Amino acid sequence: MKAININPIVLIIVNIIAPSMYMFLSGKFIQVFLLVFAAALMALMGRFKRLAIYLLIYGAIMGIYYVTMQIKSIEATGLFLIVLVQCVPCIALASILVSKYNSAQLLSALETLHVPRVLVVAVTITLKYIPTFRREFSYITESMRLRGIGFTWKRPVKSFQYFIVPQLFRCAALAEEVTAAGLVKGIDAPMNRSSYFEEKFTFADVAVLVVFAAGLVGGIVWKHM
Amino acid sequence: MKMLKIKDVVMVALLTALYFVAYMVGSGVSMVFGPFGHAISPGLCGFFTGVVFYFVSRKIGKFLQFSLMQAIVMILFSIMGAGYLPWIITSMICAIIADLIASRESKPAVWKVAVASGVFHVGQALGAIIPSIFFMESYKADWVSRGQTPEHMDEMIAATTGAMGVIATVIVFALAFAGIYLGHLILRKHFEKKEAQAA
Repeated sequence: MKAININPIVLIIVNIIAPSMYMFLSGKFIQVFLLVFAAALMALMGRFKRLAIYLLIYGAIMGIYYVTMQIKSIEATGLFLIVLVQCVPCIALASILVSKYNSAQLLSALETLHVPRVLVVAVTITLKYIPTFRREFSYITESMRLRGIGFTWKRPVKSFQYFIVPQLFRCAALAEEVTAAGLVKGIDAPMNRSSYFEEKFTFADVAVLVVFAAGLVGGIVWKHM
Repeated sequence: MKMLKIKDVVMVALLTALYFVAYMVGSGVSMVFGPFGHAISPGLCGFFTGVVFYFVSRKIGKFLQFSLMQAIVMILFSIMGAGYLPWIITSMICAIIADLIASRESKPAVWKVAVASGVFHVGQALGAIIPSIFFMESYKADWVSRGQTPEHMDEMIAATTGAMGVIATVIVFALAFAGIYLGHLILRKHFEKKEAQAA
């Protein structure tokens, strides 16, 4: 079966609406519905490796939860994990958002929501920068290792400083580069932005949203039955 | 009162990424300490991210910098499925107040930044406190249906209502306040060196 292409806006809408629905629907229902919905969406998008990882993580957390709930002394761990597991379907969809779409696609898609451009630019930059932190911190730890500096609890402020200060000034330097690149591409131009990636709503996008809405309506009916 | 330019927006976005990562780590660690740890988690995060907050204030120093930071954090949490309407509302209101306190001048006094950080993080803490007070029964029933135990929910509500709620709010404010002074301690010499070079 051919993988379908989903507009990133669909994933954003689902992730924004889904957690708010916990206020109105049965918590158990939405938990199961989101698990199935996210898994089906990932399968339709052909993200099978990510789907396998997602199901594995979800299963592992639930497994640990059920085990820890049987032992009073470690029950708190289970209660922490059950909070965490609620976010796993949305985090899985958000991970697709970061890995599958580039900045230009995200910008084009977010602009169709008529969100202020400042916010669109800021969120896109933040979303794309977060996954690079592991690499950034590995550079810092490598530099610290070369200079013979290690993290020590005897001098926590100094150790914390060695980690955070290079990262802060790296952000400042990077801001100059990203701004220059953005200005060259007309990021602050007052007219509507055109893009090579015109993210139009397709039948598949509408169908996904209809299924999602139907699930939520089902949840309301379930709660009142 | 200077407004944000595109360069400032980019820098706030990058620093918010750093703030967000630290916030996630801080929240995860604080939840291990039980219901009270959860109630004061914004304060713990405020303590460790005070250096980022201070850096934003000193490096950007423009109006709406903290509101933009908070808006990005709330959007990211929403995209990750952790958005919660009362939390978003209280956080945004307090971020605007933080801007009014410490973003109207380019180099505000450290105590002003500290108060702004306190208010900013109290806004996040109120997101857990408000549902415990106003929607106590439905809040409890919902979480019990999602796998929490009634006893744990009672502990959670006890940690965020009444005197404990006030204590948690004060602790959040104090930790976030102290975080700015930690940031000042760490970054002071870097900014002094830059200012001396500029002069």
